[in-house]
Amino acid sequence: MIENAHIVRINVDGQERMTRLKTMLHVPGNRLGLITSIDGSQLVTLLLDTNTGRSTVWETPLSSDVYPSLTMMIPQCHWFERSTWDMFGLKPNGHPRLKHNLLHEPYDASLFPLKTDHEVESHDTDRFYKCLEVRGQGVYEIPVGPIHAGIIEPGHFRFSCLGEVILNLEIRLGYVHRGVEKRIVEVPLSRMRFVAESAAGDMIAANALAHAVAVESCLQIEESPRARAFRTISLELERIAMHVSDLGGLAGDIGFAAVSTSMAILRGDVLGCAELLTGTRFQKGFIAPGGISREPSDKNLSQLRTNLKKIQLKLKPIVDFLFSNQVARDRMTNVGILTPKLAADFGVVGVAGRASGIAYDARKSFVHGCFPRQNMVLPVQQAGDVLSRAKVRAEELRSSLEIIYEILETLPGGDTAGAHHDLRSLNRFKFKTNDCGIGIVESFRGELIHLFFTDGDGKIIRYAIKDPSVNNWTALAIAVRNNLLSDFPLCNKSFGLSYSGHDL
Amino acid sequence: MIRLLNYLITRKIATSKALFAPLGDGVRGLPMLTGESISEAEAVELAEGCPAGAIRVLEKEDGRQVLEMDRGACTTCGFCLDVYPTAAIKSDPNTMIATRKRDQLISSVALNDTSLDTASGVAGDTACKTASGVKTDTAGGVHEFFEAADNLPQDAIESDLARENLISKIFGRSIAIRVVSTGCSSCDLEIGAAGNPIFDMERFGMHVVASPRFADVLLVTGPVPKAMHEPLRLCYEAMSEPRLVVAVGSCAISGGVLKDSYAQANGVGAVLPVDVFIPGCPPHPWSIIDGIAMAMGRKRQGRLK
Repeated sequence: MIENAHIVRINVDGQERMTRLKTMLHVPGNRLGLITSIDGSQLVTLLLDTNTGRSTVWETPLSSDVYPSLTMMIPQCHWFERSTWDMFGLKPNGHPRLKHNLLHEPYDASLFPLKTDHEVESHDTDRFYKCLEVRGQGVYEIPVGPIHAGIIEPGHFRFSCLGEVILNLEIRLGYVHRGVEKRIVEVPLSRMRFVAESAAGDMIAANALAHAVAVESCLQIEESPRARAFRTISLELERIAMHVSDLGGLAGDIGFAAVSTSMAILRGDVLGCAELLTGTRFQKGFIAPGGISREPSDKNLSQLRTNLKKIQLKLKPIVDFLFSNQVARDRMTNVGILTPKLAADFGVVGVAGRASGIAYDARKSFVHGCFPRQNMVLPVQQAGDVLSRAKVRAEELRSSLEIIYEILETLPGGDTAGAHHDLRSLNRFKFKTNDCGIGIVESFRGELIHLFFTDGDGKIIRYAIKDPSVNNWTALAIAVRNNLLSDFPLCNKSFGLSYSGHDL
Repeated sequence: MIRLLNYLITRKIATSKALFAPLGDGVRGLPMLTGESISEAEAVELAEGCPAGAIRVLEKEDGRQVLEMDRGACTTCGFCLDVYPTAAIKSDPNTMIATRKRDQLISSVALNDTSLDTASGVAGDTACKTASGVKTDTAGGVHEFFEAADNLPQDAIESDLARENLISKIFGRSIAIRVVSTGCSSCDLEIGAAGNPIFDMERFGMHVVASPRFADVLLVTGPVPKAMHEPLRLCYEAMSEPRLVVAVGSCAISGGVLKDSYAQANGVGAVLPVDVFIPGCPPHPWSIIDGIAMAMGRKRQGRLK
């Protein structure tokens, strides 16, 4: 057993894993973080305790490339098991819908990018993909994508419809699989943060922060209080920008142009704030292991304060217009319902989870930036429809602005550069051998996990990134069932998921 | 309803009056060479730290060492500007940075030397400076864009110009844009922002359309991983001629930090011929509008016609 500040690593054999996981997940506050492997000769199961902020890694040695699937018992395993098959060639026996998640037909059938310990024993590695077929009189299919009509990332949606009603939606992802998890272990530590940032272009601050926290947790170093404050502002600014963008998008899909364009203008203002703090609109390269990469000037900080006040004043009436308009409310109410039961079964996170009764926010549980804040009040809704998700977003906009004000008011003095903060010489840090590091961050989409393992030389051999979208794509597919086809854009926008974060 | 109308009427116009405004103070743009020389030790450290391989130390045929900067690979990470600042590299506030040729994004400076490397660097570096209209007093000076192309064979210049004239005639007033995303989505967000009321590219005749069938120009973002090669090619083939391709962002130009991965994500150039390159990670909305204007043939000598 290896232990550091935030994470415990234990060996659990295959039989025990099967029996214990289900019981563990029934304990309130416990969550399944992710399932993956390190080099293909074991399974790694990450369990999170959201009450104490501690994480446990179960390592299960495997004697062959086939292992029993847990999906029938624990539905949320299904996506992890599919991805682990693609990346490591580990086949979950008994998986009800085993399909390739990440690697499509153009990839060589024998390619398992992250498997390093041995050749994969020959089993079915055909990359052929077949969508679920819904049969019955009058049922027809609509294929959409991978290239979508708007300006959005690629993915394939296969709708099976009866009349105007969606009977089933199958989502095929993997079109933007770029090999992030492999590249990140190929580069030296000083460059890793930039590869981490490339995981999802709208979650740059969140990914950089998760990376920094993971590295710091393994090295057992701490950033200075001032750097911590700036990191939190950076994360919250990203949340504000994207929630504004998503609420505007919702209004756009309803056809409420006054609100959607007002939100678009406002988003420009928020990105301007991000530019003041970090130097770029998307906050690139700002958060780094050990602290931050540049100190914002006092002039910029006071400008930031003024601009945020203006944004808050502008935001309120626009949000009110959206929620007080009866047509807009009617379009969002009882549409795209995700029941709390299904949300819990599939481990849904973030806004979608909180809109379906799951009171979980990583800012309340895990160390990152100025978090955890145990006393945070979460805007939990029970209805699980588009309106609930919109309400959660609006509420979080308000609370994020307040968090930033509070931090700016009580901004700790001192240096952002602590003793460990020379970004020029990050590579001099040596990780402990056979150790692991973890960073869990509440991005604007929800729980983002960075988990890495070091080998016998202290080199990072496996770096896993779990984007919140991994949990939530299935939730979208469930939520649109029995809804009108024309409501799909609205449902999709209300979840606001990432393709690139999932595909990596 | 009345409250909403009142709100909208009392709003000021959000659309930016200043066109292609340079980036503000303290805002980090793409890096550019200042013309100052740099020591070998510093150059090696910069090359070590650059995550996208945009800064390299190369040996020329004559044995001289140069620091080469490829703005088409730069991911604006800030390493060479914030973490390891030197006199040789500064942030480029200019937003008009698109180029027609890939090599115009590459410039170099000799190590331990006081002048810009004239053998290969001037064409690229000058094109960047010309586009900005920024006068510089460093050695090497400012050349006009077409002057810098003097080294090209004459017929190549003529056919380029003929094509440009043709394109300008057809698309000079308005152009239909199809966006294909194959990357991390930040470039897509900035293309979206270019269409918002602040930048409002529609006023320049640039319309985003929902099908390649009625598109004139294909805007591609992201490194184009393997699974997107075929969809992208099909999209291009569905467009009527003449058709143009614009690579938006470092990944689309060079693959960015994921270059040469097993997903073969090395940019659009691996699949389609590219007409205009817009560097940046992501490029500023003004840079995107500038690049589209260039594709329309509306830009000559760095100015919008």
